[in-house]
Amino acid sequence: MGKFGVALSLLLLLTGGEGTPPPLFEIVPPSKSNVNFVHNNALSPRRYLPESIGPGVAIFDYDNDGWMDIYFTNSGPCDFFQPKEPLRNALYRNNRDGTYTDVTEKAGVVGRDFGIGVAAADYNRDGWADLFVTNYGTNILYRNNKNGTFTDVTKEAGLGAPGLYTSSVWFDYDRDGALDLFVGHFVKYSQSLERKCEYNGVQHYCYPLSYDPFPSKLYRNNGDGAFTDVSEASGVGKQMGKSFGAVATDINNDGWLDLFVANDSVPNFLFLNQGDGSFKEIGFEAEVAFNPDGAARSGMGVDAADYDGDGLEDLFVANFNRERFSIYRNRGDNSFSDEAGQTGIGAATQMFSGWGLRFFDFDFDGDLDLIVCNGHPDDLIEAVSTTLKHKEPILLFENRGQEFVNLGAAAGEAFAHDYPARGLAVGDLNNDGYPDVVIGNNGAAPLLLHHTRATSHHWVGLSLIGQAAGARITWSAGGVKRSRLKTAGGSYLSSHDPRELLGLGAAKTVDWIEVRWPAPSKERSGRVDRFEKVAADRYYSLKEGGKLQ
Amino acid sequence: MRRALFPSLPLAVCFFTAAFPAAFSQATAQSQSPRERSALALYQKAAALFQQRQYEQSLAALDEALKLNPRLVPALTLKARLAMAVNRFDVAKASLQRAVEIEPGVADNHFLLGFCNYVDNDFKNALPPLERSRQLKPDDARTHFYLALTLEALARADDAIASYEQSLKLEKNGGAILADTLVAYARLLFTLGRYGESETLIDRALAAAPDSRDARYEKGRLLLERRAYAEAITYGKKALELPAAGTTERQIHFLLARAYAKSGQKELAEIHLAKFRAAPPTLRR
Repeated sequence: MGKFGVALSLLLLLTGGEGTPPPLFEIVPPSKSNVNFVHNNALSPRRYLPESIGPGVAIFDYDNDGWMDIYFTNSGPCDFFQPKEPLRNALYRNNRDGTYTDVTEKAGVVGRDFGIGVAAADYNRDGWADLFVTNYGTNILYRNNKNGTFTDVTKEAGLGAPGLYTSSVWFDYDRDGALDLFVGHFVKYSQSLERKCEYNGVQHYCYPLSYDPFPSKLYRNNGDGAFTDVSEASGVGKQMGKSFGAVATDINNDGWLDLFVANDSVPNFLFLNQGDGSFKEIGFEAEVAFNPDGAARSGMGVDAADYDGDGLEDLFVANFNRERFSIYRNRGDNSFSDEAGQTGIGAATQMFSGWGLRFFDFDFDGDLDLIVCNGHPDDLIEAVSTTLKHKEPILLFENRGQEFVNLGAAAGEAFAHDYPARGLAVGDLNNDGYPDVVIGNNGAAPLLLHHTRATSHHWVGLSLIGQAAGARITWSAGGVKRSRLKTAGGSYLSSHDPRELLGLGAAKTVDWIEVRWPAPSKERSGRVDRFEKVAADRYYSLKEGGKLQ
Repeated sequence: MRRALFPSLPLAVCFFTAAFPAAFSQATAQSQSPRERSALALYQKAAALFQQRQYEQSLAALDEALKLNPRLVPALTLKARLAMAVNRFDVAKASLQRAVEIEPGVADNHFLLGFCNYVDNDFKNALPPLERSRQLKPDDARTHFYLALTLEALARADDAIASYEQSLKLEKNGGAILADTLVAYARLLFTLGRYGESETLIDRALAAAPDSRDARYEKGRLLLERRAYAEAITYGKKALELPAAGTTERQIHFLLARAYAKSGQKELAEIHLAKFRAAPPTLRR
């Protein structure tokens, strides 16, 4: 059979011979997965603000068995809410057969206070992923005991400042090899500070403009299990924000990780790493703080990636309905241009309020596509608007070079329905190399989306061992060179599978692959590991200076 | 939670300039019952009070008129206008709905209902009456204009563009293209990243109304996009001198702060940035 015949057969196989492409993602129901978690949002007639914020989701491997597990946050007791039944977060162990087992109690990660977000990473460099849970209350650092259990080490770590925290990011801002921690804080809040926002005598959730801003936290990892609060000294804590999503990336390719923070109803922050332990907030100068009319939008989910392949990290922010989401193209001079109009993102997102999101290459053609989950924060919005809905669709955008095209229901059944979505994490749950998606729904069951492998393209998976945020992966496949910076954080309240999946297009072999590791603080550039002729469609792990395994 | 938005154009564009319903003919008046004639007289009194901006007295007269004749459409529409002026969109919509039911063949009633829904950010319900108004009165540029705004708000950019085009065509046929139409259309094209086409429209708006603050500001924004910073500053400074319209001083200071910063004039950028930050936030999106 010639090339044309092979291609035709493949097309017929993928389309079922009827011309309709097969879905890209399928829903995995709780009856199949045994993931029976249901988020309790503590919904009250008073409509306290934190009710509308969670939950977050983490995809991470807690037991180092090579299979990704799932963690969800849940509400809990606080000044405005005393649950009738005890509530807890949930950890599901991957049984490697498409099912999961709830091991929350056994693992000791039930949480406390009012759970909101989660970020997983190996902060103590022992080779086991730890968990940081943000709360309305006091956050929690769970240290992995390397035996399937965790210990709450918040107090000895010095991470116990109370507040209304949202997304957190593990990243090494000072290049000392240890992961530091950014913890986003939303508005200044307590039950006594709650506002009245009634419409026709019915209380709705208040617009965040009604509350005062509050600074976020940056903690430096001392390397001995404890952290130092460097919020003030670094400059991060000098900015009064209402932070939701955050992502660490390197916007100027200077080797120092910068931090982009989305704020709701006040300007976004872009913290440029000065390389001396401090950050300069350049959101206005970089043109990512406001919309083109000078209005602060309602920034929620974020991500950073080089979507146009020019070697520069671009930014994405999911905003509130009518604000249009922002896709900021990096101009290369520490400033950005919002390309929402040109790319079609603006028109496609005008009616939605976006939360969790991720740039990822779902079709393995080498460029980065995008998934965004949505949902209006006001569950009563339909009583006051005929145009808006509480539940909103998930948007899957295919990167077609000059524009992003929303695939809609063609991507699968899940994309034809509406959800009260919040957190979103992307990861390969069944180790088939294809990225799956987990979405946390506010006051509802989560959504597990399994990639159906409906693409003929090839891939390579790369697990970088050790502190890898800031590493640049460059590869060539079929003569096409591409690169990707390993970022940290992103999405909303959530934490992705740490492995990188690289799309190869039709190539069955990677011509070469190169990893430039983050440089130690006193060196200008990091070590480069390079490998030739790497076979496709499998995972490799790599330690700095080691071999692909 | 309710995040109301300012309408894209001042309410006054339609609210205060829209013509009152034509006077009843003498023959019509003679065919009416005494009750209907009394109602008509009260309506005429209310209309006069409205034009004198004595709104409370006008509303009282209208309520009396409608008690005598609940089917008096001019009274219903005038009551709706008064209700809109005090943000009682529920009352306005009910009055206009009744007017549409009584006189389903009158385009202006449908237009006012659509307009009222649009101003109340009720875009989904604004669309059908505006479409009906267009059917009944296809040559009304104003209807096409508000259809365009509504379609734009519903994220139907291509349909909005067609309506803006039709509105401009009808305005041209009528002898006067409105700068407001050109600016609104240009703003849509700006959000779509179609800067060249947007600038062509703004240039036409400036030719039609050289002292339009909105058009000066939009020209400045477009010049900033193509990195013509000095020219953007010129347009921004001129916009600041012009009477306030839809564009706020805060927006103009934001434009000037960016343009000065980009052109390396840090002190001037700081001055405008401080003024921008001191001004009340805009909700314009």
